[in-house]
Amino acid sequence: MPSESPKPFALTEAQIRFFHVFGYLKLPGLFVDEITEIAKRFDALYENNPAEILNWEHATHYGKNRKILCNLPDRDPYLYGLLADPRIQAIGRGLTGGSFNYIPSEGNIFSGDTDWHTDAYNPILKFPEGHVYFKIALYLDPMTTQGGAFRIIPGSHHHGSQYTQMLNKLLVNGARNLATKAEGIPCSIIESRPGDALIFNFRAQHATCGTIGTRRMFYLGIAQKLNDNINYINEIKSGYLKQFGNVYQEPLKHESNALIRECIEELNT
Amino acid sequence: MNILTEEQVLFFKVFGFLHLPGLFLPEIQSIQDAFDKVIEDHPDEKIEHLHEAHYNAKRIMMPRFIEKCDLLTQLLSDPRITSIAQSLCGEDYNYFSSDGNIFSGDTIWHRDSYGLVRRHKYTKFLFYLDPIKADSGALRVIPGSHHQGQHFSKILHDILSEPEQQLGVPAKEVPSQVVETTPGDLIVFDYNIQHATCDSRFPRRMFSIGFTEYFPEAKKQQAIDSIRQRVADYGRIYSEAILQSGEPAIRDHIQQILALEAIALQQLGSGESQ
Repeated sequence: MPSESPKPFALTEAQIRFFHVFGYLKLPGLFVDEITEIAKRFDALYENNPAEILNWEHATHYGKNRKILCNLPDRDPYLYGLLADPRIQAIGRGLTGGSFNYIPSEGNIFSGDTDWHTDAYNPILKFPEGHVYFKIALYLDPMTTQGGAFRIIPGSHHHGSQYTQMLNKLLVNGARNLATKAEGIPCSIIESRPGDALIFNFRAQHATCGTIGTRRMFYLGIAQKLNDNINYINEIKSGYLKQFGNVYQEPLKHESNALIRECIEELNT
Repeated sequence: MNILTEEQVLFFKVFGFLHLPGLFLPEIQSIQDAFDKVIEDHPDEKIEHLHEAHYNAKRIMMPRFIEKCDLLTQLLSDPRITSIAQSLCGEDYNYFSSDGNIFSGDTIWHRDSYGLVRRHKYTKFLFYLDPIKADSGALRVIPGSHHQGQHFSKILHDILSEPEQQLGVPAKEVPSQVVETTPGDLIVFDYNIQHATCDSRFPRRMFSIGFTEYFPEAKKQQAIDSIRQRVADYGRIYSEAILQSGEPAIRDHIQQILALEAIALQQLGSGESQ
């Protein structure tokens, strides 16, 4: 876990509102002091777990290789220790309104661009309607407008709204239904440097364009607590078990830190 | 002749705006000259606006603008304009307004739908006559903010008057699409879309033409109320020149609003009918 106590941090009311209205929030330099260590551990996990890396090739990524390492943070106490970090705690509590669940998260090495899509797929879709869930993404390489920066359609995450429904239908095959390339879709382009935290709602439409080389990224998934609603809890757990064989990985599963336990107790198996 | 592709019509429906670069490039010089001449020839009709929507910077506005000059009036029967109006507002669209503007400063986030019939499609065609970049006052729009009655649209309406306080960012950092333009481009947007301009560095000339869907019976009374207010604010909807036009593309697309205006005038007790 990060050893030194970081500076106090809290989201402002305006930042919380910005996130809920537009579906994303960028916090520049939030982990700039730790990012070298974070990147080192990310690389080590990829190097030490070659058999568990999924080489994924999908139309969303234009058939280019994406190396996924499921439950990446769970495998390293320093990385999952971020869940107890006051900055992640402040983001989680600020945006969900209280204590929160950690959602199984992965590491990615992308070799190309990503067409428009949302991250609201199973088991995420098992959460109740209107539930707040989001990713705190850390890009480990500098991303520029011309070179693969994250693109997001502000306001595309409002569940059930006409705009969201239209976008989800329209962008089901990327930007092709509008006879344009992904770059032709109106959006915010979020340039980032290692150390920035990029938070976005799982339901927001997002893409990347112009990737040069590879992009390393991992995230911490956060969701509102289910407040002991056993039906949802069982449904979500079984979704993860069915799809990934587990919810959380060792050593996270048996972590004793109280703040971290609070993040995993509801969905742990 | 269809100017817009099906995909462009869909883009407009989803995002609420379209940018058509260079559509009027061949005649832009004569359009610019006509704009300047109308402004020069009608000093008494200029309205000098000092309004908080423009941070109290001066905006010169002239209603019924294109109707003051044959060349600009002809835009109403130009196949490029009529085709786009038909694609976006239906074959029986109404021409309902035009204004000329010289903006001297920025414009806060706002919609142009004040006083209009709710949940009815109004579309504005904008001709910017000076090159405008992101850092010199280009139009900014929030895609998707035009969907009336939807959460995103409503919440934006509630908070955008104070972006710094509500969102922690200045107006120009509100997530939006910046539409940089070169004279000859046409921008089309839904009247309900949130838009603004930031970082203006010189006066910007712009005129617009407004179209609306035909009003169905169920919306006629709302349309009359809207027109009555408009007449009270800016005078008659159309100028004499346009009323005398024998051009079918003009005559056919002013009839409904003329009829509704007649009722509105009666209600205003002006004694005028036509």
